[in-house]
Amino acid sequence: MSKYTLAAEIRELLNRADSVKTLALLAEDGSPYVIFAPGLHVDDDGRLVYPEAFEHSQANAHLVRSIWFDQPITAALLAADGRSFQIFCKPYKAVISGPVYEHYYRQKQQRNENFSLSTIWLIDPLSITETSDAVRGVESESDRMPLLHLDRIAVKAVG
Amino acid sequence: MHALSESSLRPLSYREVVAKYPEVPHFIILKIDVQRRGVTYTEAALTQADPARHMLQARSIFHSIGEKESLVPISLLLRDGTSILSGPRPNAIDPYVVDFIDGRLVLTDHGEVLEEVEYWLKPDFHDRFTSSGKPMWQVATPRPQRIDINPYAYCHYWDDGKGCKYCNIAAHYNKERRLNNKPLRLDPRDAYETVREAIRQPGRFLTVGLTCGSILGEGELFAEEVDIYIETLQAIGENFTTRRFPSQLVASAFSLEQLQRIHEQTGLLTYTSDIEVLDEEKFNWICPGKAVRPGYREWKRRLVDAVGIFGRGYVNTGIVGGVETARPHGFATEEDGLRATLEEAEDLASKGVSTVYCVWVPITGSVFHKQQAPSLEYFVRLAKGLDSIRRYYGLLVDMDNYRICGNHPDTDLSRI
Repeated sequence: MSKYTLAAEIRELLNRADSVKTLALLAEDGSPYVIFAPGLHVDDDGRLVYPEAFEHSQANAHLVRSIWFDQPITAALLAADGRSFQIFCKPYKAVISGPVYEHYYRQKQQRNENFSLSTIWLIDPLSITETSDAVRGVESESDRMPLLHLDRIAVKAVG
Repeated sequence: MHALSESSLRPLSYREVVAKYPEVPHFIILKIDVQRRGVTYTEAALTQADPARHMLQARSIFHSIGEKESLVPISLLLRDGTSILSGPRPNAIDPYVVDFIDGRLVLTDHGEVLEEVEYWLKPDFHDRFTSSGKPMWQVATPRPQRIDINPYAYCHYWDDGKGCKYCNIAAHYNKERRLNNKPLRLDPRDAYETVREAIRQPGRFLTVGLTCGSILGEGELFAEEVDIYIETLQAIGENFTTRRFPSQLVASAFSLEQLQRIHEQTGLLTYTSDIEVLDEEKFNWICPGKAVRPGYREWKRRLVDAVGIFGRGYVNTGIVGGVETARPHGFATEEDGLRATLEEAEDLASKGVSTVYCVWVPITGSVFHKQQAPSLEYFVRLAKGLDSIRRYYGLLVDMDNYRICGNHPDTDLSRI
């Protein structure tokens, strides 16, 4: 069971096929590495689940590095209604065998015989931030001097 | 470098080694130390071992678990997918302890919780029987993703007492034959049927591994061993639609002609021949039988020959990491042992042969059973050294990695 509980609405958005999901990982040199992760979803324990297809992919290597060296990863979520969220996470487990692995294996096999499946990554969410413009604008700009281009407050010429 | 200067006075603890080598994941350091020191289970942990789900019985070439006595977990799996082949260590002096705390199975050291663990899971074929009536768990020993098969249970270097001094294979076979009627030779049809059953479980197995003791024969060296492997591999191969199938043979150092025959007549994909000790003088002392037939230099030459047949990245050799420091004729210091081993490993790598190691456990039934394995730090440096050599020479080790095998700390490091 994950220690941090994602709200039911977020869990639902993560499990929807029309949501866009990405994972931001850290490469060895510290540079960001971002992948689209349509398979990212939430399990019954509240953990994020990411099935990685390829054993030797950069994404898999970065995830291994993350679980080995306690490095953070970030999942980003763009809902169909335009709202967006960042979920700060850490990998909890690399599932490479057993019933959970075999469940996803069979699922993939039924969809496409030429599938690949390396690892089912179970990922603990640690916190979440909404990154929709309306929300983050209020959060970041309140109490600050406005960044406002003058043309936007200029008296409009008549005629 | 004199990283062992501290450990020559007082070996560094697990925590100290983790702190000293931040570039090595703690999972792999822990794996090494659990193998070095052994592991036991609390009653609470044992109640979590479910005979319906977990592997509590295995009949391998080096040990048997659960033949008649109480059932204990065969081995462990860490959160990152790293396997710990723990095996039975009833005489371990200062073992780690698996406990069940707050709803989690955990590895502990003197009461300190270090990591979550899982028990290896039982495959579907485990409780089934071959058409000859043999329990399939006695035919094949599963790892999380490998089916291990031992076509022959004895090593004939022991016929004149010249078996390898760290090895318990002869003592183990003699005991198991007496106590549990363990057969010397596996029927290839039993192997065929067990693999057929095993691969009905989607997503469970990635490879088939074969190994047995050396069979010297009276004529051509290893001819009978080669015949047994060919017969068994051909039987197993009937289960697959492809000419070659993911497989590893861990066998004696076969001649070029013998290797060609195996390659041509079976679907074998990769070949391993364990040289065990990477120094000619120490090899001659520790492996007196192999030292004569075929000899250290010939063993190395045959490994290189195998690359020409199976290909680069499809041939490796195993060593019993740490045994080169055994007393009284082993290397006097860990530093000397490490240097000599890595030099020889580099020579092999330059010719396309990877070296992988297993943690030396002075096991009951071996000549060296009263000896002491080197420090944890030694094994960590050995893992780093072998991994670095492979990277330098661009040698991939997918054939013996963390999920194909799971018993080599150096190949665990090759995941990234």
